[in-house]
Amino acid sequence: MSANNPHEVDAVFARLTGEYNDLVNELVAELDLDAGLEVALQAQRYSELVEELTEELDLDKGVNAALDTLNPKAVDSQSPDWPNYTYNEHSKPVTRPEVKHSDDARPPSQNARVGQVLDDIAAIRNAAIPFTPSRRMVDTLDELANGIRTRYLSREAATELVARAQGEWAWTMDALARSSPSTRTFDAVEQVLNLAEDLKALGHKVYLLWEPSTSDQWSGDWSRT
Amino acid sequence: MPAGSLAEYTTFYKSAVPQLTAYIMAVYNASKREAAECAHEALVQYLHHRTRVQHPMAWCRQAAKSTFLKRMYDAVESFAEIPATGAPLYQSDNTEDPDKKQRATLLPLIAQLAPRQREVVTLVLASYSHKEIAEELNLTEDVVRSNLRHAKERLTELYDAQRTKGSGEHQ
Repeated sequence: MSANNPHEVDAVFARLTGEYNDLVNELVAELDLDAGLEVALQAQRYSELVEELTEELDLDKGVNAALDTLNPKAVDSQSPDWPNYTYNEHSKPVTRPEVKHSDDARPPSQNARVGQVLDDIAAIRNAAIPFTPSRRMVDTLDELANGIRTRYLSREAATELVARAQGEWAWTMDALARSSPSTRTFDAVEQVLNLAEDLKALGHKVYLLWEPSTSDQWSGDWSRT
Repeated sequence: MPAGSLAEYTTFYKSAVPQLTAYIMAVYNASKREAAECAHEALVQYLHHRTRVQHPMAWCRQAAKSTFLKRMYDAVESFAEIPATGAPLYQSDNTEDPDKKQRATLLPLIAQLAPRQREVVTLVLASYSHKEIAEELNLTEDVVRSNLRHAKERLTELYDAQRTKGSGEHQ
């Protein structure tokens, strides 16, 4: 076969190297690198400004002042009975002003959802282990589970990890598609495809962890979403 | 190596974006526009993390790959829906030169290699040593050499098949 001829192999690779270098030179000429750089720096300047303001402004004081304007006499965040604390001079129930949950703070009422997501992650992780190229995907799922368990992850970071796991699983699918027919059994293909679907469903569930808890949002067949 | 200053970042951006674009095009057979957007996004991410990154080019390569894969598997955020402000590297849509694409006969064949071979070959084309590739991909140098040898042989086979098919069509 011609591929065994080292001279031809070297010639083809030399030509490929030439094509690659041509492509890089072509890109240097074609891409508007100044415009791209300007956009990148603008984004950086904006986030630096946000960081600077976050440090400079006394946000705790600001939040308290804002809450005080709603009900200066009743609001007492130090009360041990909070948020069921009820008091005002007319004995009307007073509830704490609704504060939108930040991305980093998951409402405690969703512990059941968290447990279910962690179970799902463990199931996918264990099913993925027999597939050799899936190691990085397993590590990503471990990182995701750990972040959710410790409440360390933001929604953005969690969805990013799910996307990474999906991308890494795609490599496994790719590797399987290119493997020999003996490896590519019906069971293996089915399992790989099922896990891809499970990862997709996991993405929705993880996303919803940061949503307010309503039972109808969580029920249903997520594998079809 | 680019460190913290913006002047150094500017230099790094201008040298890294074309390299990363070519890399994404070769490994994933991506279009120039898709690849350039992923390269740009990786460099934006790098700007925020640059003081903590030890190997900028390797870091940006991972970020660009992750961006490409994320977009590929995210039905909501398709490349077509990305607003013009997110793609500053191309001022017009007319970016693909069909003549140039036709001239490149071997580069598209990389996409037909196994995933590991694709990465090894492309990093070799980008002038990385076997040792550097081994470190980046967490492999031994022997495995890198073996992947490269198989990839070269496979590329030669694919190229021969392409030529045979081409000459058959012309007859």
